[in-house]
Amino acid sequence: MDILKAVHLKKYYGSGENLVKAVDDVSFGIEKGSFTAIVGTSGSGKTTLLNLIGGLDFVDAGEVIIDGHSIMEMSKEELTVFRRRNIGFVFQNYNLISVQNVYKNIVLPIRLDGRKPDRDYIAQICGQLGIEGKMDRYPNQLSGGQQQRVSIARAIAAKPAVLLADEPTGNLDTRTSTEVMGLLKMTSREFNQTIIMITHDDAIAQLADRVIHIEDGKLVREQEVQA
Amino acid sequence: MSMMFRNSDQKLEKELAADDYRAHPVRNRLAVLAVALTALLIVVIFTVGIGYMTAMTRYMGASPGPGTDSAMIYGDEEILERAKKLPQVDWAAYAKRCSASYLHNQEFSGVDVRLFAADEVHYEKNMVDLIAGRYPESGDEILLSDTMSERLGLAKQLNVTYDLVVLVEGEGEGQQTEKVIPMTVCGYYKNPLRGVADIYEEIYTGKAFIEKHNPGLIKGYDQIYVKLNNLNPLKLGTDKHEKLTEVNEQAAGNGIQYKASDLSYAALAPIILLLLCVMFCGYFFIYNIFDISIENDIRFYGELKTIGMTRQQLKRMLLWQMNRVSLIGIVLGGMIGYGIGRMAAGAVMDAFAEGISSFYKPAGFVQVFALGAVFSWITVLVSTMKPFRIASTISPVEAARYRGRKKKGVFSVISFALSGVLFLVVYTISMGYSVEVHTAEHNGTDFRIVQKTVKFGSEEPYQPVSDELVRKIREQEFVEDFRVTYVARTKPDWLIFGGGYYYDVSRGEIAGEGELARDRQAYVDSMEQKWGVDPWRSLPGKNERDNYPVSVAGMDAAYLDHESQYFTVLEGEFDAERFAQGGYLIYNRSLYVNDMEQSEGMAYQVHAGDRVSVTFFDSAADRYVEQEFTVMALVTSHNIYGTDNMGEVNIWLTDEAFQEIYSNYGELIGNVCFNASGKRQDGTALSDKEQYEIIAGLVEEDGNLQLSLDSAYMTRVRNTETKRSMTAFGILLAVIVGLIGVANMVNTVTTDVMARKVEYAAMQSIGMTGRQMKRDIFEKYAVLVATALGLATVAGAALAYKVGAQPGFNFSVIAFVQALMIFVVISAGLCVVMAQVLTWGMNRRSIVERLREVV
Repeated sequence: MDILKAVHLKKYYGSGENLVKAVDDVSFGIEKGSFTAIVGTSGSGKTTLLNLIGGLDFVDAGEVIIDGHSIMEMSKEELTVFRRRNIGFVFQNYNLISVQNVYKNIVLPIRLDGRKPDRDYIAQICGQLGIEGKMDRYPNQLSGGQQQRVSIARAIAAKPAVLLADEPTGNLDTRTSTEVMGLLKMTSREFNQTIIMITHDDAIAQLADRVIHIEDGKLVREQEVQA
Repeated sequence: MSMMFRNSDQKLEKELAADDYRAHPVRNRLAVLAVALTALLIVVIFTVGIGYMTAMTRYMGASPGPGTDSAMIYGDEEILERAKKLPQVDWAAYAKRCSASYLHNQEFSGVDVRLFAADEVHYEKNMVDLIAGRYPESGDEILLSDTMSERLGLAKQLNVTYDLVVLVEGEGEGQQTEKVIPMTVCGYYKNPLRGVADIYEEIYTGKAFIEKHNPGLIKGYDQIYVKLNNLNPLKLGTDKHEKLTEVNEQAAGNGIQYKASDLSYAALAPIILLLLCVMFCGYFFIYNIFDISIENDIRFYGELKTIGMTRQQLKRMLLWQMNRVSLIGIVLGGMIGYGIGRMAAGAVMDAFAEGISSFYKPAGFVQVFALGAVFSWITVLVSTMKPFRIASTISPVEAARYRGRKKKGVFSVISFALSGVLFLVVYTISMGYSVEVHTAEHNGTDFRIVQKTVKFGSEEPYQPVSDELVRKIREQEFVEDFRVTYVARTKPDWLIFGGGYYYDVSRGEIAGEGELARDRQAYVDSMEQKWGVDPWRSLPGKNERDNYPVSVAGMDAAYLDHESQYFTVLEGEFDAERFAQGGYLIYNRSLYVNDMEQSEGMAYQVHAGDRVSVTFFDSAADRYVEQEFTVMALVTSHNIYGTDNMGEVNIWLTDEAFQEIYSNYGELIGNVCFNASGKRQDGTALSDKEQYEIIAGLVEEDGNLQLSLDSAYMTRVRNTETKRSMTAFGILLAVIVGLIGVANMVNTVTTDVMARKVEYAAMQSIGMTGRQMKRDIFEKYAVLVATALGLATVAGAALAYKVGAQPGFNFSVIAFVQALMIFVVISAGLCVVMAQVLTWGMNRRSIVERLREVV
């Protein structure tokens, strides 16, 4: 069953001679619990595509359906609430809240929703991600890899339907990148988390279950990765 | 999945707000400073502004009948009953005058004390509330106010006998005599006019007093206070005249009286304008401070939006921070501002209207603070919402990637220039206040003794300046340039007005033939054409004797040159030598400048050089005196300070010509002017103060209460005090405004440099030295500062000049240059210091760290 569907998505910038088709009529479906990588070179439209399916940017045409809900039909406020409950984000530059400690960063989306965090679940996630001893630290006191783990923890703490990762290893060294990829894969398996990751690195992409290639805003091919 | 919202966690918003707040200590301190300074200025304006408005209310004159705001018609009990029945009248109260004028008790000197017999409605509706004893029943009892009890030291004792010196109507028309009448104090009331108790008081007695003690009082002219229910509040009382006249006509009353509107939108306009300027400055200041962190703030808000913070949650978080900054700043600034406002209010008021500061009572702290707090909070709210607005309108991904843009130079220049203008104006006007300029405006000679009734009329008969006083003054060894000005007065000189005799201003009369008479008629015609009906019966048309009322004065010809400085010659010229020869007159058609505008287009019937025959009426000898004159000049007055002696005079003659016409000229001295040499005959020095005390003593000894003494010495004393206060206030205000301007510039420069720190890092990476960086920053902002300086100089000079041209102020070039120099030095110094500090600040982080901020 598809947890996420993108239907004829379009995102254009400029007009006339200066028209740039960042995403040009892209359609695909993502199965629940799968780990999908979207690969493309710089300027291929992969980040734009991720932002569109995550509701962070506005489409020019098309539809995104997540867990049976079309995000196009939602108002800004509804979309914000929907996003915090159903979509987790992991960014290349982590985007942690610098004025809050690790624990508060992780539980922030849950608290924004007015809910009490499930401490046991949080502890489990942190344990799995190896950051259980860093709860009182602040982002500027952590390494890049540690910050990315915190970012992953935050993304999955609310048990979202989909986790979107935008170049999660972009700012990390090779070894740490491998570790983070491993963590994402583990997350996908352990928590049956649907993950969509974008990357420019083919090798990193091969760690996913499925790879979608994008070029000039269009999907050019797909492949299932052999385990 | 349910789309239902749950209540968000407000504790979280507060927690995030507190965390974010703690992360910006420098910004917060600056913001508190900015809010405090803005609040301080706003509260100062409100303190002085509200104080000024309430002082004006009291200054405009005593206001009997507080329940009706002094609106009254004149009439008897029949007229009272008719007025009560009118639909536009809520209620009407009756107060019969029991003395022809104010009470003449010595101990009431300086206070206008009136004696009334009033009805119950008056006591109730005009707030004459009993606090001891009872209301008077007989004509031998009086009710005093609590303030009068304090003044007389009666301690609210009842059944005490007190003598009142009442002015009783005499046997002949227009005659009044003093009569001492012992009265018993039967009660005390709480004075509703406490605010003016130092200049006006009311004593009440029973209705029988009039029959018993003052039966000659004019009938039908008692005061009927009228409470109107059809005034338009938006007109601020300017429709009172029209509505009251309506009541008077419908009730067939004998005239109206009311207190003119104290407030007009024109009076409020400067206060509102100043408030807007300060709010505008404050807005820029606070806005600039928050703008420093705008780049990070928007990214921060974008990150929160990405995670799922809604617009409302973001707004509450921001409001928490804003309110915290506001609270501290407003409390601090408000309290200090109130203190400064109270200290400065007197000086500011005196600059606008001499003597008004004595009517000043400080505005309540709570009301002023509340107003100031609201305005300050609004300013802060408007200033701080910008990053929120930007973040809430762009998508989360754009917000999260937001990179600051360069500030528009125009914006920075305007805000700095505005502060500069305010600084230049405040400094120039306050520091440049010239005691001598303002003294010379009000005093043409060192001393002038004026018979007030000549110009202002009186409730009491005209009392001439005595020969003895003139002689005694002339004999003083330091007196020089002694001049007498005579002003013609026609008897009988009284009319019925306001319930009693009123002794008009001094006027002569000319017969209805001849060129001048024709010109008087032309003047009256032009006024009627312009204004229609004459509501004040003041147009100088022909009277019952077929004569034209004109003001006629005789002056020492040698004084003409001095006097000429206050007049504009329309035709002819001033020539003191020719004037002294005799046979000349000078003609001022209209006493009021605006009347000249009214009669524009209505040609003069006489011209300079014309030979005219004028027939003067000498009422003392009951004769007409015809004389021929050559018209030397047609003039009009441009003096607004009353410094001149001839400004209200239509026909100027030499004193000799005047004496030939008016047989009782000895009783017609309008004023005497003289200078003081500052030396005794033996050459020893006499101070201004000693000379003043001698002259003041002579005037007081003379006992004529209708004389007033103007002296350059006292004017100088008052102006010196005003200058002291204005200087103190001006320096303080200039410092605050200057501080805002400086802080604005610092913030502007800092914001821009911070937005370009990556750019500088890139330049440093390819070889730019620290010194070069410093110079680059200095040069770029020196251009902005210099532009702002230029604008501020031009605008500041123009505005300071304009303000200086207003009555009560003057423009001093030296003060302006001083202000400009200070401004230039501070601006230049700041550019140097800022370049130094910013370069040092940026270089605290390595080039690589700064370059990494590029996404």
